[in-house]
Amino acid sequence: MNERDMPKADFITSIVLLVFSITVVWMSIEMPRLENRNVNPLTVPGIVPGFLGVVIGIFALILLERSIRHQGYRLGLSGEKVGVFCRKDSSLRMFGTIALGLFYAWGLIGRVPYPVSTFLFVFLFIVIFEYAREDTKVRKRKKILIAAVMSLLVSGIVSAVFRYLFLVKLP
Amino acid sequence: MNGFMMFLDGLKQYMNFWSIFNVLWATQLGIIVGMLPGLTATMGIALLTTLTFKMPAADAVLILICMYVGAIYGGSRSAILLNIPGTPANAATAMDGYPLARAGFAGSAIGMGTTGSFLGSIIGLVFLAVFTPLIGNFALNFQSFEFFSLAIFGVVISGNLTAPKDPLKGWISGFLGLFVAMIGMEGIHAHVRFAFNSVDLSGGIDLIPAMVGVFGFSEIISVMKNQKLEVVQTEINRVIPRVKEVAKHWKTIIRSGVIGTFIGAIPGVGEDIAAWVSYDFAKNASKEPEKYGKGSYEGLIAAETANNAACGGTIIPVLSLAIPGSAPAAVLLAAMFIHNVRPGPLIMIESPEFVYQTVAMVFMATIGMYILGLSMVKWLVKVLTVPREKLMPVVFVLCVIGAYAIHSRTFEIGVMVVFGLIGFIMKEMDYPVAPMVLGIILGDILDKNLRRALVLSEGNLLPLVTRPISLVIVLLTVLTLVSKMPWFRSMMRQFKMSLLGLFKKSA
Repeated sequence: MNERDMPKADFITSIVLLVFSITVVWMSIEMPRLENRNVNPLTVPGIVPGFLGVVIGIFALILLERSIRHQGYRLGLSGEKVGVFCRKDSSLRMFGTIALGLFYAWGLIGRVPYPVSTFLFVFLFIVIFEYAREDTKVRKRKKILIAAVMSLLVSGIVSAVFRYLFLVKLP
Repeated sequence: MNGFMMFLDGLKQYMNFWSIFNVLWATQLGIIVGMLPGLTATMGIALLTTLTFKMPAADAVLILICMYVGAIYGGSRSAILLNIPGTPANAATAMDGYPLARAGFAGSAIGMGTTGSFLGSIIGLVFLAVFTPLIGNFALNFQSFEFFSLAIFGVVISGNLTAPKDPLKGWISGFLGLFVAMIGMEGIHAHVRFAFNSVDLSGGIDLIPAMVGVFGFSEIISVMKNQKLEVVQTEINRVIPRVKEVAKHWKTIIRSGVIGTFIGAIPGVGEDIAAWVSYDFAKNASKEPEKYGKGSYEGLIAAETANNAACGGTIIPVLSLAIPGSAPAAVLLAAMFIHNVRPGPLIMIESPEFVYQTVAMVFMATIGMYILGLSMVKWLVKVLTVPREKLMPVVFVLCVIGAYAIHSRTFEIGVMVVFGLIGFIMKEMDYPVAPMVLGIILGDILDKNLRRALVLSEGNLLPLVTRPISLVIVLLTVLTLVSKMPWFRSMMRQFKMSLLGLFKKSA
């Protein structure tokens, strides 16, 4: 993120942190005092989270004041700006990586057998990120073949090592 | 003398085929992990922890230390050849290493860097052997108030030093980490906090998946987002440096070794800051400061000596206080707990031999690093040409299975992913992640000790400032907090001016 946009990011973060700290303090106050167990009131479970919530709140206020001083509240968000950001090559790669990671970790693991899900993830990752429109058909086919072989190897080796060497019950 | 004998005993224990084999592969793997931008020492140790958790403690910790020393050194390769530090600890190395490589001195830059790392590691391990027992014995005087103030100090100083431009963000990161440690069942009344009726969350957030996420997944996103890297096209000439060339930098080596160890021993600060501070000191003391940044061997050696000396330094508080000096040391600490080794103030009473065994492990890793570092240089450069599109999915697969393997719970995969995303957003917004990790470790210490202290003092917080050790820590914390405030700086400037004026008048 560039320096110019940082006060805007800080403005949003400070508000998120402020809401977070208020929630933490409120939840800490609401936590049971365990009087029925004759617990010393100074050891109640909410005391330390409450203290942390207050400190985070103070830091959030300082951040908010600073971002307002640097006019961070002028967010200047527009559909056009968001569109330009989303179309940037680096943003596409970032979103692609996150999407593939989430698809593998939350979509495939636990639903599809581990070796298959790992094969699919590695294969899709390599094929998607190595795709180049200007490649010839032969080159494209070669890339897909290499990706398939590599995915098969990774999936096989990792599954075997964890299953048989480390005796882990694969997800 | 007793300590030296225990060190020799420790060394003798590792003088067998399997231990030497483990040293060689783990250090070599560490060098490769360190070399590859996006794979950090922390990630390497975290992933290897998941691969070694079924091994005996002595072998597993040896392998992790070899990975640590190897990775911190290995990062210098990409710093020199790519101008991209393989790990954050090698950022200062790139300042002079890359200009040297471009000028055709890649081989000698690698050789000098390797020698600097070796000597730095040796200095670090000497300090580790001398200071761990001293601090351990001193820490026996620590009680609840001292541990509470130490936990706060650790987070504050870590925030200060890892975000020098904006310490506020470092402190926020640290206190968020302390909060993360509050999730789950607390240790005094077994009450479940912030779990929202989730059985998984009631067990708390485990450090290893969180760290694999913060230092693994978030790095993968960063690497994929950024531009492709180009290896500098240069002939690798003679690598092994001449003794004379190294000896002329003896002052820099000793200074950097001491600075590196000292900074490394400060909780949560780490090898990267050690390298930068040492680099700055070396530049200020240099007869040729104008060469810095343009290809100075002195600058290169200052950075590389300090970051490897910091490895020994970071283990000092791990063993004596159970508080890590850096993010990789935090995983090392977590790994020790997994293997039922209990570092902390009682270590010098319960198992002093483990301290010297650790020194022996660092020694073995250092020797391994030097031998491997000076050999196979040309072959290893090829590793840098592996395309990220092929490497990163493999790393992510290891992050996922690594997070899962320790407890065999898919919940840990979720923790890893969530912390990866949090870590990425934090880095994008200039929040350092190391204080957060330190906070996760210190959270439990803070929680238990504040409540115990309040019970012991019947709710009185005065012992925080009436107990001498606690008072010193509190004063240091306050000084760290206010030292970055503009009003404090201007007050100090005015104070300095008026003091100077007084002297001038009396003269």
